[in-house]
Amino acid sequence: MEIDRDVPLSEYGLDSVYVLALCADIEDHWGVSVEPTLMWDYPTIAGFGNALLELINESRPVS
Amino acid sequence: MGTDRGLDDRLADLERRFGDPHDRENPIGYTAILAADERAEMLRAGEQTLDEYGLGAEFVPAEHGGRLTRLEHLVDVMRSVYRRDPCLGLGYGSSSLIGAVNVWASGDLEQCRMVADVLLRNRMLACAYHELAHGNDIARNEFEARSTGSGLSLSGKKEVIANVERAAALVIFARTDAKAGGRSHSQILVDRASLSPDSVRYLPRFRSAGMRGVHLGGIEFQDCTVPTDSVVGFAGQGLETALTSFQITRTVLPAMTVGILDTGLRTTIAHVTGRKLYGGTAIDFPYVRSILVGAFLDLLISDCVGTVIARAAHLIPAQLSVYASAAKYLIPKIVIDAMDRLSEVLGSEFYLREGDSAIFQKLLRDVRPAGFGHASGAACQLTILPQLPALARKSWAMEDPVSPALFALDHELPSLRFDRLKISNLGRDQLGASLGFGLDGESDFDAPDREVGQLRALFATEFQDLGNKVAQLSPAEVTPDASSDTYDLASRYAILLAASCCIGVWRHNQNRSDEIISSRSWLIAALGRLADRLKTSAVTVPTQADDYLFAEMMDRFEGRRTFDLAARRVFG
Repeated sequence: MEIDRDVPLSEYGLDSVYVLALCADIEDHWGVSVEPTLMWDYPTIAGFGNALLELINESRPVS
Repeated sequence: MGTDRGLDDRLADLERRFGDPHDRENPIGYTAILAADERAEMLRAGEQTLDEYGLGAEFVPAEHGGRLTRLEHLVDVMRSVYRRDPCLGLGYGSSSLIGAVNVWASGDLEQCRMVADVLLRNRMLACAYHELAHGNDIARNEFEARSTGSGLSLSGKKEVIANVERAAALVIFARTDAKAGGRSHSQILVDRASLSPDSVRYLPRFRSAGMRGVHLGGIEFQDCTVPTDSVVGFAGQGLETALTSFQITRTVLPAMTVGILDTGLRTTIAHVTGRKLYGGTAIDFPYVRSILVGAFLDLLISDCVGTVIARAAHLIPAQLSVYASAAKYLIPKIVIDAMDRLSEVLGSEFYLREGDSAIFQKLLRDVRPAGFGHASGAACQLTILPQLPALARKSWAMEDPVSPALFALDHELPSLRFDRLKISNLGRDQLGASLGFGLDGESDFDAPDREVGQLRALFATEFQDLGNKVAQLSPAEVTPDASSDTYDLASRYAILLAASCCIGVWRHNQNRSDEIISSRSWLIAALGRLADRLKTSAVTVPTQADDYLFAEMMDRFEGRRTFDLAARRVFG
């Protein structure tokens, strides 16, 4: 299935409570701690990706 | 400030007002309570007494003028009420608390003042979440609060809501955005008297098998306009507020229902000590004794779990999400099972609606909603399950030790902060992880003990096994579609947490040498009992522990003291 970057994930059946499971995986993968509510605030892949990118950049030490 | 001294006075005061439950003339005795139950009414005299005592103040944080400072104290006070009449506990007490926590968590100062004012004047709050079509799946609730520019227009139905026609104010869970997702709902706080009568209709009362006196009603709104500032928190914060603030009620409500088992056990003991059968007294039969001691153990285990998790709310609030769900899942199960087994001992007596043990059949009906009301067992498993893989990977093997204050009952606690609650544990679980400490040959116990050591090792091995299993689960396997084997992992986790609570309480209260919870007999018996629940081992309670616990139980029965950790004096 093709996921549109600008369509809320809930429309693909991602329940609002599933985010409890995903945040830990994101943290494992990217090394940043993500509040599950972030996915509620940015419900599309595009929006969430940007918010996540910001968190990742913030957590990197400035060289 | 709610110091311990203040608590003791309050409890003694409440007990004095309640009077002797066996006095047939007592308007708050069992005779009157049973008569009210037969009429499916709240016990009016009981409500008046609680008004005079000022029960509502127990639900209001001290900073808003009430007496709520420590969750354990709230539980203690409410347990006294549940011991007497669970309908008063739920119908006069807890149902207001469930609404209030939403506002303590996310309301502004004005809203907190309004709710405090309602409760301090002994008026009620109704918490209108439930829609029959959606049950615990609140994210799909349809009741709508539409912005009209000049206010919010409410439309929709809420069903099976306690006190909806009696409450001074309502907390309504409403959809404020048509989109799916986690930011589409809000709590709406309204003064019931201010609602336009033309746009509100009350549904007929729902009659129930237990808690018959509690007024369960429904309400239907049609284009009812309320002020925009009725929204609690920001518009869309509702699901977050529910998932955080209800951690408090999921923690304390099950702990309160331990009071039902207290009276159930007391009633059963009273019956079997007077019952002559086959040339002996029923209480001398080993079968009867083992059921009674089992119920006593179940009560103490439930109190250990409830107490530790109530302390966790103060000490490690960001980890309360899974603990509160575990408490709400496990404690009602233990309490209901124990009541069912006691009913076997009572024989035909448990079925009678009159006679000396008649209160038991009411308690047996009243205890059931503890299992499904305010989040069902399955809904609690569904909060735990998605979080388990992260807990296993990130916490169980490498967590920092938790402060002994979590278990040491005399230890002071930081004040309760609703704003520190989080919707998920984010991979932290210090209570669970403490089950694994002291293994690998290293003993961190003051008094190493072979039998205790073996039992702890058993639970630690179970915990490791659970860790291995959940670490392999993919996100797709921890959703509502999970298999029953997967749901079972959440149950096992709750039982292991309970073991961690019991071990912690035993270990960190060794200074209370006169008390049962510092004894190895209690710990061994409790862990044996929990091992039975895991269904993995053949650990049985040794006979001498049985005798010791039986003697303690009878001592409390005869001395009119509660069967929980506090062993407080009661009136009958």
